[in-house]
Amino acid sequence: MEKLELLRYEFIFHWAAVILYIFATISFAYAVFFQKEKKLDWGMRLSGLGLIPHSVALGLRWYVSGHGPYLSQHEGFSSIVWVVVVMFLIFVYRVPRLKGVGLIVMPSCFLMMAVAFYKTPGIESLPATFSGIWLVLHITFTKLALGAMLIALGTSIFYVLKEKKGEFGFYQRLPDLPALDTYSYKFAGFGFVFWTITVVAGAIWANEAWGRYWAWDPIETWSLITWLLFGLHLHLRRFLGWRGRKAAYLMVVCFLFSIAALFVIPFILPTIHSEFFL
Amino acid sequence: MVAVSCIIGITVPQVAEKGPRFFETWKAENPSLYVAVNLLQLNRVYTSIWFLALTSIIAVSLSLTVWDQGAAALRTLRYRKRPVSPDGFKNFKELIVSGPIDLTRTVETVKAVLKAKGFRVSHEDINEPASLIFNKNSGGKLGGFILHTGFLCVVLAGLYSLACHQRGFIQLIGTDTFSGKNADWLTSDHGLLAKDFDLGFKVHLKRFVPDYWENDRVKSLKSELIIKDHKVEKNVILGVNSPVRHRGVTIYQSTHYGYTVTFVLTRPTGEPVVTHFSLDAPSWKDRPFVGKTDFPTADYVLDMKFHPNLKEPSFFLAFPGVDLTVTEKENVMFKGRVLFNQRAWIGDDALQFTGVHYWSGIAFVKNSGTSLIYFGFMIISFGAFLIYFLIPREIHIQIERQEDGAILKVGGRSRKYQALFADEFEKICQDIMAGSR
Repeated sequence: MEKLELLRYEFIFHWAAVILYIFATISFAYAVFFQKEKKLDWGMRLSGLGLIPHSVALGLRWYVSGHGPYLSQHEGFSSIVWVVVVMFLIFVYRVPRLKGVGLIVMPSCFLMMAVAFYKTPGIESLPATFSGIWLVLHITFTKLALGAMLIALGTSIFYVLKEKKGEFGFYQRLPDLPALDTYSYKFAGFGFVFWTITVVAGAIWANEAWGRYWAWDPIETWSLITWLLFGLHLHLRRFLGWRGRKAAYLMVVCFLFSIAALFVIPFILPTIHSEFFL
Repeated sequence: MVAVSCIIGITVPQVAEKGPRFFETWKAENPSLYVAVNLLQLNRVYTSIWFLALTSIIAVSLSLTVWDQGAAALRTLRYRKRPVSPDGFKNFKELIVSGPIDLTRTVETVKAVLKAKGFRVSHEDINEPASLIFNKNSGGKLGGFILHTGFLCVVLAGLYSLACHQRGFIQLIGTDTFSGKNADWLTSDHGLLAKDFDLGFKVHLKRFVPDYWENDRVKSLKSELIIKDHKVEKNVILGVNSPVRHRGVTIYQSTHYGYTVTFVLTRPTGEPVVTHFSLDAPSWKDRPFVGKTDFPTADYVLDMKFHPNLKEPSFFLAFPGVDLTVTEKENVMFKGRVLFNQRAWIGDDALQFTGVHYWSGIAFVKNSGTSLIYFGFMIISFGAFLIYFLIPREIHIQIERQEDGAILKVGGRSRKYQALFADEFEKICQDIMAGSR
């Protein structure tokens, strides 16, 4: 079989994953809005099940293209979703009471997967600068950072909801407010660490490739702004006692900045990243 | 403030991006706004005096933080006998064990329970009342110090680079030699305290080898160079992401490359003039290498579209030709295709297409504080990891023998995530209780 023919199968597996993630989202939504806790397990199962065709689709693309899934929007979005789902499943395995976070995580995932399919589905060849361990670290940690931030966002949103709705039904079964707040803090911290490594690895890679660490490229600048904002968020929590709702709202702002840096700026401003990401 | 500066840098057009022409137009259209922006240096944020001052303030602030945290870290590392005071912690429990107990065995049980959870004993006194202190992830206490030291290194390296860096860029034509002198850079820049950038050695381009994917996108670029340093000659291969270092200068292969076409202009009066024109590589193979420039010794402007192989679209040289338009004071003097070795006649002047070579973009960088920046980057990542992944925890235990058993006073604290530690503490107490029965 020709290598390129395998892309047809990638199409099937990709859509199978999208459909399973949609069903997972429906299960999470049903469980949360109708207070049916058992449906959360269905959401978890469907998310895990979706990961199987998704992994196969990514594997096929990797095999056909001969490089990791990071060169186009299709590969970028799809691999980010894969990392986010894996992180989410591991997180919920450790903290089962937070299964409901799937209601925040899974819709983002299936939307990104669906968008991925319509963006540059063909195989792109690797540009000359795309080599070396720093590139791999840069890309891997971007995805890990986004996964951690998405979970921090989910816990922050649930904090606000639980605080508003009180200890009723579904919200009663969530961890208590201080624990939710702490999870948000913890994952914001993880996101900060991963984002730091992303920026560091990117700077070193840029130096190896172009002889400069920092060129104030729009994405570089937005990444720095996001990083500073996360630093501010963590400092406010640590030293000025920001907790609860205030911290949750700031987390939402931080997340929006990270989304702007990763998914908005490359499309509206000329940047060296958009050359490879569009 | 840095974040605000960055937002200004993104929203206000910057000199480094837009070039002088953009600002001339802006000045003409809106002079008062331009004057204000220029005066406040908002159009060159990252090289402005106020940004430099801001960076210096950050460096001072970081130095003080590092000093403070370094002292705290030293205090942490230095061993000192601490009082065992479990009841002084927010998480505190009294576990009552009934029946006769063997104190040594109870201590061992407690140690085994906490060891299994990753704690290590940092203090042990089995004289009654027995007292124990356990620690976990003590290394995490150094996280803040390490992280901020890393930031300080990067900021200092950045300031050093801003003051002392030297950078030059050339388009080196195949089989040509770069003199290494400051005057011969195509573009160059240097820090506030740095002088002209003279390499002190010459660089000869022996061969340039581009490699392409099946779809004709660039796969890799390599320049085979000879570094001529006085009487010593060194052969090196430069590649994208594979810089070469020589005498403190780092040489980078740029992703800019292309063909250089050579024309000889022969006028009825005067000597022939040989001129090289460097054309940029297209992104796709079916497009030509393009360039438009003045001819240095005449009033002609040459607009060139060079095809390496006219038989089929390709990057590889086989049947070269230039689609040439020559204008003089906006009058078209010649328009047509000139094949290799052919002449284009512009009135009585003959313009002969005599040569084609690759050119390779090569950057030279000195004094950018590389080692300090790399060191800073590494320890920033390590420090951040320590802070958020290794959370220091401490458990104090006192065992008081009673007439019909013992009371285990257990207290604990965590530097972060107190709400989660409360659960962990509860579990530790349960396990100690279960083990002591």
